Amino acid sequence: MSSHEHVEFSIDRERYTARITLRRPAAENRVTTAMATQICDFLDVVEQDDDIKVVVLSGEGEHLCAGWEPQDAWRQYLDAPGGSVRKHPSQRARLIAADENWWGPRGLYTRLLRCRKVTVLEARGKCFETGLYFALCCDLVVAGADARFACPRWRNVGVDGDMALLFATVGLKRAKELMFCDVAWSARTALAYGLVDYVADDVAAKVEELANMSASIMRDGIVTEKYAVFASLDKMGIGHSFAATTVVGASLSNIHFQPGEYNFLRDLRDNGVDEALSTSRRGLRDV
Amino acid sequence: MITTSVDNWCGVIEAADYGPLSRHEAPFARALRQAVVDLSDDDHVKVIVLRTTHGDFAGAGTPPPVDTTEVLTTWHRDFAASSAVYQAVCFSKKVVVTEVAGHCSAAGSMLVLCSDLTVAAENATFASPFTDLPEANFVLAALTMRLNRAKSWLLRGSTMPAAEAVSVGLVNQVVPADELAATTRELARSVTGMPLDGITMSKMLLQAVLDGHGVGREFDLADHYAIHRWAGLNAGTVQG
Amino acid sequence: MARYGTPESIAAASTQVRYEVQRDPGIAYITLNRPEKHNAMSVPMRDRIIDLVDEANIDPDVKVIVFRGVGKSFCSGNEINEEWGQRRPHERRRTLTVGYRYGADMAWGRLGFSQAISRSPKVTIAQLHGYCAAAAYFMIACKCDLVVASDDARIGALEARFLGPAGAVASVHINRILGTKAARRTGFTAMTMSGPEARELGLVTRLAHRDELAEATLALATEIAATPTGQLLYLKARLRAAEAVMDTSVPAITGLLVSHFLQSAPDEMDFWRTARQVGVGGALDADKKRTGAVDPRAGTEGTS
Repeated sequence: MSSHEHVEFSIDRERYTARITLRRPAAENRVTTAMATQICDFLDVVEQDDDIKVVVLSGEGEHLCAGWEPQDAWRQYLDAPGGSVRKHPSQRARLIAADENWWGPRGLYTRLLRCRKVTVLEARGKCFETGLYFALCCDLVVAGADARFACPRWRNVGVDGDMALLFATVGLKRAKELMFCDVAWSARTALAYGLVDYVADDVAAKVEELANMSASIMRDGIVTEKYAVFASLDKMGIGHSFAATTVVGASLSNIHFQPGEYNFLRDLRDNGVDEALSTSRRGLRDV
Repeated sequence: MITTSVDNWCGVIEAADYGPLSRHEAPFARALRQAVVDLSDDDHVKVIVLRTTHGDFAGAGTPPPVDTTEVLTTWHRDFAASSAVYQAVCFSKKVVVTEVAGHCSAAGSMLVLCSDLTVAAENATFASPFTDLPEANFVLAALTMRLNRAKSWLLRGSTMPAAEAVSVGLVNQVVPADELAATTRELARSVTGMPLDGITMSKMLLQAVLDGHGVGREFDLADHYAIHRWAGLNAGTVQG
Repeated sequence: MARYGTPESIAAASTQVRYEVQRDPGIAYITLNRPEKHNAMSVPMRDRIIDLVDEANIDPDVKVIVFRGVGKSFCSGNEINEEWGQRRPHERRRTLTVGYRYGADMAWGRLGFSQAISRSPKVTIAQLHGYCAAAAYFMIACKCDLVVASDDARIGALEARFLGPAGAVASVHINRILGTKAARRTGFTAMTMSGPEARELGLVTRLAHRDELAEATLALATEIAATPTGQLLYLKARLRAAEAVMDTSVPAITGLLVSHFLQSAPDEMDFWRTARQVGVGGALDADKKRTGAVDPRAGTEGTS
């Protein structure tokens, strides 16, 4: 199945709203690099279309997104320039992959965070890894009562994601709980910590209500305000943090394990995606 | 004065209480700093727990005024330098957990702010570190509990009960006193599931991000705050 | 710098912003007193706030400055329907230089009233009830050190509905006070925060019923004023240094000049054209009839 079928795009001109939907429910909407690129292409359309004031991001099925597709973890380095010259991908290939696909100016997270239109997220079920970053990057987040937010892959390799946005949103100590303690935040916890705007029984209805509020604001006002937000993000060190993440994340791909430490990539190679994910997330504790 | 032990990736630092830091007792500060640095550098340690063996995490106390020459030399070395106790905790390459029972006077609250995670007993209380300690880091407080809450703590010089501390994000968990040690053990265990390389790299990224937010720059202002604080005291316009 | 306004609006400002000092325990009150307009601040009123803060700053008896309002609301923001000297016969449209004067000199810039509040050496407290909107939200409430609010307070960027967000709601200090989500929510939906919600988010220090609000503010101000003067000045000096480090003292884009030039598209309500036809009050009424837009009277207690 091509990535095109894994991300769907539609526009409701009457409501000035576009919708980007992850459609890979069999894999709990785990995001591949190809899907990330597809989302960015749709964001191009959103930014160029003057009729669109709001873009809603959601996932088909029970879960928004159960994480980053682990099969891509290594492949993205091999595909990057300088990635297949020798047996192991070069350091420049690892940096380029992290930058181009995720953290850099053309990467998914920066594109979403710096989208010129209002971004609204429907967060249901698992919101892991990429799902967590969707919640951090979108302007408005509505969570279903069953939503859970976590970044379980940090358990395997250390924290290779942005910290500044997480700190600015939930505070230092709570961020470190998510970083180091193998926990998933319930929708209620995420609401109390400031990661989501609302917890709703009818998520779609609440998202529509918020989208309508945003769409009632004049275009000039929305785009002007977004550029003011971008200026603040830079002053708050978010751009610096994304750059530092790219460097540290690439370094972490060279991780060496101590005797007895769990090696996710080996588990993946030996036992396949489902079993490796299940083993690596076994200790995840809901709080 | 201070004892350390290591077991199953967890280094534990024990003191009767950390109150001597609130009174600017330099030998204690140097000993604690050394214990943190040594455990941080120990390849068999992933997490460091700061614990007390007596009633209060940090008993009350007020530091005596220090003259400017001393502020810029010995006091700087022991309380404000990048290698001194608070920055050793804040920028440790391992995950630091504070286990708080009873009262935290100023220095106790500063250790809590500098540590990554905090477990507190229901009887824990957290005094403002800003009233008496020029080396207290406001940026850390603002990043932990949001700007206005930190301002209110500073300006009112208030003492926070455990329930408030957890609701504003200063503390991760509050438990009955008799469950404190077990809760910390469980928390430490959850941290040690991360590979050693992962922990040190995460803490490296954390250092860069904290410095990007001004935590290091605020630490660097401690000498200036100290000179201001005690200049006022010498002129008789400030009361402890 | 020249003072702007009409002779009438300048003369009115001295009663529209009142000043009283309680020498014991050392509290200066700056009271907005234009209840018929929800205490909307004219240009001369903002100038007077600057003067009064200056006076309180150097008054040795004053330890705490309290901002409060008379009538139904604390303050609805800047007066948007005012002649203050912005129109000059030889210019067909407002110039950028006039925009700078209004946006920066009179608001965010180093000479503006919000900077006078955020850089005061005295402890500042905002006492909020009813509406605390637009400039009152991001240039007074979010610039004071401490905030006391009544349960019924409606705090936020209400003007975003009909004028567009003014840009300042996304500023760094608001992100550090509310967290990134609530900061963006106020700008991109124009939703207000109730007093209890603002307390949960961390903007508000203390909450009180409307009829006990003054008492609660007095208790907090008295508590602060019990601190010796030198210690209080030291703590405020520390705070200002730390805010310089965190970059929360000044906005990301000074004055947001562009907000004076926003245009509505053909399918959007043109607030100013409507106001020319039916008056500002009529335009506000027309705005309230639009579908989809947030109801400014609604609280957000229903966060769950």
